[in-house]
Amino acid sequence: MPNANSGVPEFPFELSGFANGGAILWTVFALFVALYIIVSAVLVYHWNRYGLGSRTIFFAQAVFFVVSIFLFAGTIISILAL
Amino acid sequence: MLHLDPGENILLEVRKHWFVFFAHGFFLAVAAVLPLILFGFFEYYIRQQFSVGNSFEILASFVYSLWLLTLWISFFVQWTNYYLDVWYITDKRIIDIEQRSMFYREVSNLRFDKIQDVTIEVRGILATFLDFGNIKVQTASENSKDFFMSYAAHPDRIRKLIFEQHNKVAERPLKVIPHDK
Repeated sequence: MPNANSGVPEFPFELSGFANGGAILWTVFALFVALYIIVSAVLVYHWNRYGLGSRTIFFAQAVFFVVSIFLFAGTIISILAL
Repeated sequence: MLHLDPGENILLEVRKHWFVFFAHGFFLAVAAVLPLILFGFFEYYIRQQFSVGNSFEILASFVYSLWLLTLWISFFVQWTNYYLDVWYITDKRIIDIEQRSMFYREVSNLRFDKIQDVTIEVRGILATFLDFGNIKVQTASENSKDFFMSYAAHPDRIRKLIFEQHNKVAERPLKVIPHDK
């Protein structure tokens, strides 16, 4: 649809233009969190059951979750900025 | 779970060389950077063609964050398969754990007295300088399968250790069990 002021068409993904923009992103985010929880549970199961309590596994587990928290924070900030 | 006999000790853990995993990691790193480069190109084009508000960047950063999370999970799935695919060389046997995927795991044992030969193959410049190669442990028994690991780290050290343990077992005096008269 052309912009009333300039005549240049608007970008089709103007999320702020429709009321449910945030809701769509939150839904996608929730689905992703559910997937993340399932995969993380599988990983943690393997690390604890077959890792023989090694220090490497412990370190990997810590890195995985700490970095994940930062990436999730980035995603949430993106949605809140909408 | 790994079940060792009483008094059995792990002498060496054998994994594929880190370079194998580094190659996987490198592709993921490229996949992480690629959207930024594409975004740079597309952003210029889109701003030329459309009236773009703030939400384009927001949507892009949202999708990119999820993309990074996907790559991060994928990285750790691959790392787990790499790390749990291992040979444990103990003072009694070799335990071969093949972690083919998250839900496909095989565990086999091979006693040193069943070993017939150990062959290593180091092929190429990278393999020579980084010290990795293929290792094959052949068994004397018809019922047991040969053990094979590709891109194993320090194959020569592994072969020496297996031969040392094999010789120890071979030199060990046989126990004579007295019969009751």
